[in-house]
Amino acid sequence: MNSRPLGTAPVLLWCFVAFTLTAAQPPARIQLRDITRETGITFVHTDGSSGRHYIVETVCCGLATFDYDGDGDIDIYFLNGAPLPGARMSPAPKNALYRNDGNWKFTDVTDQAGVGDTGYALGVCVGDYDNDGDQDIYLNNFGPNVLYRNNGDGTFTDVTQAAGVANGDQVGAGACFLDMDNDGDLDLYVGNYVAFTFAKHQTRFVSGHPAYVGPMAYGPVPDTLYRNNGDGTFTDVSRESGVAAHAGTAMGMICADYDGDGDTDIIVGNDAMANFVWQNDGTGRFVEVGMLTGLAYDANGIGMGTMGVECGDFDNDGRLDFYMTSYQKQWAILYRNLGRGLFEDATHVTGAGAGTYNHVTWGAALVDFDQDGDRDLFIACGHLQDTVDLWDDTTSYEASDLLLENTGNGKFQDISALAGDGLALKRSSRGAAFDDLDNDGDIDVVILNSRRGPTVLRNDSPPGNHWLKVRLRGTRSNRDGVGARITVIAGDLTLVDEVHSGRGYQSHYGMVPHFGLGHRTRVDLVEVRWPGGRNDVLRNIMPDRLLEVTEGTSRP
Amino acid sequence: MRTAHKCGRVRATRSLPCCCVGCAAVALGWFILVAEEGPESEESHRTRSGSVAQLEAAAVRPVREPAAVSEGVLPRPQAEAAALKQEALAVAQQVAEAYPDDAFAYALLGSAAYNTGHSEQATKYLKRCLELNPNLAEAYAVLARIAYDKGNLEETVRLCKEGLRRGPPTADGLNRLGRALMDLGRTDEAIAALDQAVRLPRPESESHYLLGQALIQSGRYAQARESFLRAIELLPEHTQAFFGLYTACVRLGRTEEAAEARERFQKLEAIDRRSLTDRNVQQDTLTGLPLVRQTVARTLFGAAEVHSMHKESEKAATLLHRAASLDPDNLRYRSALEAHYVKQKALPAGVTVFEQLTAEQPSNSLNYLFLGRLQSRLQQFDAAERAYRKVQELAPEWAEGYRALAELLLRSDRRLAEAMALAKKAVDLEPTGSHYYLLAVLCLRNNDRSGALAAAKQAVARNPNEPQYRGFLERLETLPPP
Repeated sequence: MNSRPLGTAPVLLWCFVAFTLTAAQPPARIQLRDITRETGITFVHTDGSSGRHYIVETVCCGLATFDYDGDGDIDIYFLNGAPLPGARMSPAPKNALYRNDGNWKFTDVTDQAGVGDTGYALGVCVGDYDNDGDQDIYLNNFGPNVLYRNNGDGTFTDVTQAAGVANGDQVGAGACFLDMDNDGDLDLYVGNYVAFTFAKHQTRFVSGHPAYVGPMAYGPVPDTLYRNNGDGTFTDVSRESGVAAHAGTAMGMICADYDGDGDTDIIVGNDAMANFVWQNDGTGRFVEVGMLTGLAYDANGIGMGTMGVECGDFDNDGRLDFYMTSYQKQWAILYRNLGRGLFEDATHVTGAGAGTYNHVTWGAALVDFDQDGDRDLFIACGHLQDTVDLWDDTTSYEASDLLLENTGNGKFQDISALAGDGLALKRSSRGAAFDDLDNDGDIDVVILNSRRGPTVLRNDSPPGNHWLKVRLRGTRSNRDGVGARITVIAGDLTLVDEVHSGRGYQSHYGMVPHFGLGHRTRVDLVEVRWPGGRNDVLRNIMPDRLLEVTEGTSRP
Repeated sequence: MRTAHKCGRVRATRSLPCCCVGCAAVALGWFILVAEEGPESEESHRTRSGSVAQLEAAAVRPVREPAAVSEGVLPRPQAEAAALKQEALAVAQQVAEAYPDDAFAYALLGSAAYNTGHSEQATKYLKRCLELNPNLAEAYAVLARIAYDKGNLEETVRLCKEGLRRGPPTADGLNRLGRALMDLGRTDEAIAALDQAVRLPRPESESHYLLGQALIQSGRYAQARESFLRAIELLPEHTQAFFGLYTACVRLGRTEEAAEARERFQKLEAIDRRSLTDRNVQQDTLTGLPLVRQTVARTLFGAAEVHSMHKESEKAATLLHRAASLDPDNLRYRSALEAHYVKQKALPAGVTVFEQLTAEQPSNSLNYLFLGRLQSRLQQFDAAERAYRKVQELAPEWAEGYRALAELLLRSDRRLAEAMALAKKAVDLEPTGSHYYLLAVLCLRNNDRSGALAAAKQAVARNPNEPQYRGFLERLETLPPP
């Protein structure tokens, strides 16, 4: 547990930051400071490449932030690639788990915890699939996937075979735990990218320079859906659930109740084709309704090169909007939820695509960094073509990430250049995770950078605004309340969020939803709608705290 | 969106006007070409063709430094591609050095730099070009495109407006301006620009489509629907217009129409995606070499035009020959090459050049066509006939081979019955006014008065403003009965 006193250090730091910035350009209200070196994190990502340009290198990989040891602070799990043919690496790269020791110090506990998988990791999600009170890890790999069961003592056990969730030998993508049938345990949706094998490998050249082929060179494949049998095992229900009926090129994804009908749907970003929206009938049977919802394409009917998928209520109208990152020469897209299961591309009228057009964009989140009561946008950038600098100077392999501030009137403003040194770094970012790493109430950022060490950004925005974090404890529902919807009302402000497992770009974060309250000093009401429809309501809550809500303890 | 030519060539519908024989190269046509089209970029592996933005996304981003070439590790096609890029840049640089006060030379160099992925240098050269000639609207268009590539929308708008201020309004300029304004969320201004675009004398489907998008953005769904319908009327396979129509109809509650539009969109989108996949698995696409050759040829053609303006016709001819070698499907380069030798009264030299091209590209019908045309001018009728028969053999579905031989026989007053049959064949393949006119003339020469009359009427029907056809028809109608 971090013990930094609230209210003092941030003020001093804020003064320092303000002083060091140029007088001509006042600092933005959001400040993200690069403190990677202070953390002790030594992890360096590899995509396993040796110059042969295998497609999997381009999409490697995500990361997870979650409390693996239940000590109340957020730990970090970095995914990693593995040597591909032609590459030799010793020692073998592996995923890395860093324990948060407080005060921004992290310790590598990979080996002690037993989570150093050496497979080629692409996506990850975390959830308490066995409802035993601790969080388990699912890895979506290129090659067999891995399920690590948390033993509750800081160690994990690989239970993949027993659980039956290896998913063959496919090219993975994002993954999500969800309770698709509201039976109280977590089922598992596993994205599959393309029908790539080494035998099918292709390379190509752009103007004489070697380059990666796109996903359609190999073609789409259906995703996989596992139903939790409630006994530690899963059954592949892809076919009977309807999910196997459509082949896609899955990348990032998120499970959310997009139509507000009380069950969890699945929104899958596909690369270079229409996105999928799997509408749940409440029993775990799904129909693909992407085009009908408006989430499949951008406003022009273009199937984007979707990378990451995130949701959040950017305009505080009580409905979850979606944000999807994409390829170069495409805008990252903000889909406004119109209600009745319909969305419109609101990218340009809101300015939510600012700065994204000339970059490939990856992890992203709608997060209220300055806690003023509306959600801002963070977007991780970096090209996937490692030779792009040689043939296109309108973009770059390494790029600065983007921060767009929600101005509160339905618009976003690009404040990247004014938001601290964390936004000045140039990397080829992939997954990004957003959580309160120092328990000071605001949301920090961890970014996985391809072929580099990660970036850890501390939120040093000026203090003053209030906040609330809500941790759920399911009793009849799944233990962490994955799929639950939380509504927070504070005066004139109504905020909503859901608990998600697996989101953004093939990553996992944010299982303790965070609400910025601005100047409001009291929360009038917190309502939790648990999966299955049961409600808990709490009233008159003081802000600036972590609120724990246990299912069934505070009926309306 | 693409259309196939009968001669076996394919061209983008939104590129130049027709490049067939007889179409004169418009002034600065090369400049637009070099900047607007180019070898396909790697983006096309992830995007489909469609809107202006998507087409733009498929622009070229070729080589900067052929580093791997010097290391000797590039496969042959990649080495050739890298060398070609250097050749194009070198030629453009030579032209700029030779004519340092010529705005067009800098425009060419800027365009060549842009097409080789050097947008910073391109910007520098294009600014120099505008210093020399501030009214060169096309330079603003390329600068605007560079700004858009970088996501700099405000600058895109400024440059588009400046270009439009300096030159006549063009659909392309207004479309780009409208798109950038839309992307900035300045919907009303976008609508105004695109409204101007659709009021141009020959409005493009794309302008109507973009106007529909802007109207959707402003919530004017009924008007948007009308715009999408107009876009589809002008381009019945406009995939994205069907998507726009679907969206507008959903918002308007026109359920059945929305379902129809959705179905059509999904069919077209599947075709687009299949076509992309097919292209992706083609080795040519993987190497990018054919597209690189085309882009380089455009630059060489542009350089030739600049040399011609400075009366350096031999230098121009050398570059045109090279451009024709690099782009076997391009009529314009061959037409310009032919025009050069005609103008220089050096027809034998022209014959030699086209003989060289036929030797290099023995299955290319275009080279034989131009060879025959030059031989015909030299009264080498037998040789010309052989060349035209080769055109027919190589491109049996292309009317030009039959038309050219029919005309040759008419001109040399030989085997007129056969000439008439050839003209009929040309009409069958391409029922154009000129083909009907040729048929009419040959019918008359073969004493088929009724056939001549019928063909002449068809010619006039197709080209009512063509005085030659009308005059011929009038004379036919006043002839006394046989």
